Amino acid sequence: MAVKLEDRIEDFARRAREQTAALTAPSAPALATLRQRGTEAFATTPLPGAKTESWKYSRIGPLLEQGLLDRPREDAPLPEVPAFAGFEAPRILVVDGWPRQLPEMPAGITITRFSAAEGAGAEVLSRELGSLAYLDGRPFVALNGALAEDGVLIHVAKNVQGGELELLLAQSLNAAPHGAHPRVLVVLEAGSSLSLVERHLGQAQVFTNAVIEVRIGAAAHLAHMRLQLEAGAARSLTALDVAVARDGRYDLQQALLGSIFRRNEIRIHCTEPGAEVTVGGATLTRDRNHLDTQMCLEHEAPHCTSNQVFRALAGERSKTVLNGRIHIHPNAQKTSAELSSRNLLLSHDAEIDAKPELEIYADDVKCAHGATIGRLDEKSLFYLRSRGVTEDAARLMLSFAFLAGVVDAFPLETVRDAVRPALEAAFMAHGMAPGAAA
Amino acid sequence: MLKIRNLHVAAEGEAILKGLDLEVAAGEVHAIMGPNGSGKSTLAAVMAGREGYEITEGSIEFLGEDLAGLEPEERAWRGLFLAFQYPVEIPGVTNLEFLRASVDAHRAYRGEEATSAVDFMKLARATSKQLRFDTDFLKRGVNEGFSGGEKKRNELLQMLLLQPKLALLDETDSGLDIDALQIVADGVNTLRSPERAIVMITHYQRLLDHIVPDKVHVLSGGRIVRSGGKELALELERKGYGWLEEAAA
Ligand SMILES: Nc1ncnc2c1ncn2[C@@H]1O[C@H](COP(=O)(O)OP(=O)(O)OP(=O)(O)O)[C@@H](O)[C@H]1O
Ligand SMILES: [Mg+2]
Repeated sequence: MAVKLEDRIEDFARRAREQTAALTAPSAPALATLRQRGTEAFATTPLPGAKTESWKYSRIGPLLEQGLLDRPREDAPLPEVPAFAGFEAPRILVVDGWPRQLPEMPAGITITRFSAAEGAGAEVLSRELGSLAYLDGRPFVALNGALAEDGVLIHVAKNVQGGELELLLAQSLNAAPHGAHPRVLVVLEAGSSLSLVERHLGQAQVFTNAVIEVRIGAAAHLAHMRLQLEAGAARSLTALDVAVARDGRYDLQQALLGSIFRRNEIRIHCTEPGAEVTVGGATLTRDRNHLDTQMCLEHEAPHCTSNQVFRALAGERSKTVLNGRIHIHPNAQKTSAELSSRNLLLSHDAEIDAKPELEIYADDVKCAHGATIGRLDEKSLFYLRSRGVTEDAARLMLSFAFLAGVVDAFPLETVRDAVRPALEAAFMAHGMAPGAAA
Repeated sequence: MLKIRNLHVAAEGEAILKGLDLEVAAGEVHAIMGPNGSGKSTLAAVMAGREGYEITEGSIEFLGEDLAGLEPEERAWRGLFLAFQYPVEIPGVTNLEFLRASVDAHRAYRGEEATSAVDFMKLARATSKQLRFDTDFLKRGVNEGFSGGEKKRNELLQMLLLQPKLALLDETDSGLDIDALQIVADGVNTLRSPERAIVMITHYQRLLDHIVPDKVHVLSGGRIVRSGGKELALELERKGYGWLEEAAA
């Protein structure tokens, strides 16, 4: 007996509202405000239905299943964190949305739970929390606010060079389906810097609905590396909202695998002149996995630059979606914005939807936007095989050659060196023997 | 070593080779000449196992085995090597990584262990040096941005590393300057031995001064229309192909 999608969506919304009502009010004022706003917005924002344009390629069915709203336990057993070869940095461990382990940091860098924020940290929270991830038309961002019971603040003070930091968003070992609503706020004050490696871990049937807000102050620099290198049954939805102030720099490099449902919404605002943004994405989907990237670059001020490079491989019956929107506001003269999206289908049943979206309201701008979808080059395949490389190994070599440019752009060598074997392992886990290329 | 009998090959429904016979014994060097579009590269492609070429009649036997049933990599493992007329560029795969994968694939076929990175680097450097090929080319993408002559030298580098039993050189001399031609010829000559054979496709008799062939064939209209000793090349240089095409018609 099939239940209609609309009924399942309605049922999900009702259960979410009940869940919200059952939570006790938090003591931290900023968190209380977030919860209240989230709850109100969720009540009035419809969930995406079959006709919602920005959800056209992502059906929310996998998010609606039983148990995926169940409250995450604060004391669930911690997972084992697989080592990331060669990369060692102070680690923030967020499990099922709960901040479980926070590192001690030197003066100038504050890392605190929202619930424990005090003094300057509490001030930053009241000022910034919820100021970037706007709620309008975004029911899951609202739901995150409504159900976030705690979160992590990362604050780097003015002119402090923050070094490297690891942010782990992991699932617990609690095997029962449940929800998780991680919330992270990163604030870099003027002239500061940080390298942040964000890793998502866990393959169980858990709905992780994360929201990350990032404010980059004047002439500050954030190198952000995002790794979603586990597939499986994880339902993962992550909103990332970034604002870059005058002469600030934001560099986001991503290595992503699909899962049964994965969607990343990324909005980057260049709010003041001189902001510089680079984004890279090396992605791979296999089996019936799903990976949806909703990218939006808001050029709101003159003299800013953005450069985005996406390379996607899709195999078997998987689906990769990239919506790359560039919005150049009327006063954003002298903007330079580029987006290149190249995609390779590894099988006839795979699907790639790469859609550019340009909205340009200023006349003196440089804007380039290109998307291609193709297959591995037969001539190159033959060339490698004529030298004795097996067909599978040749396909692997060419596929990674295709991703190489993006992987090479990871700013930390230790991370770069670990990304490639991780992607290769994912590639080979599906009977694409490494053969002679190993 | 190589026995081609009454070979007919078609591509996209178009007959290109129309009854070609050729025998090459171990230890021999053969040259194939012939006008543009006569089917020389097609012969090379069909031997290497390129898709899109259909053998409609006849056979190619290499070391007693019919090639038709073998994948391109299986032909390579058995000792067949084609130096391409137009080598492809593969950005993102480094030349070193590619060369090592090919050498290790051959070793795996022979039941030998893969080379160590250090040993392979030594071998690749030494062979590059022999071809006076700057070792920087090992670090670059396969043929990426190489000049015409550099691509040809890279083909030679692969050949020397793989030590094939039958090397098929498709216009490896085209685009080489005078010094490079000498270096490449020296490289090919080091491969000459009683167990190996070499087939060179060329338009220029000049190459044959450096690598002296045992036999010269003229391929025209999809068939070998004339075979002879190295003096045939000199005759072609003087008279062109017209007289042969008329005789064959
Ligand atoms: N895949 C193909 N599909 C259709 N026609 C082809 C194909 N490959 C070759 N041909 C045609 O077959 C003929 C022979 O081509 P081939 O490349 O073998 O000539 P060639 O003797 O090597 O010439 P050149 O001296 O110019 O290198 C040409 O007319 C060519 O256009
Ligand atoms: Mg040719």
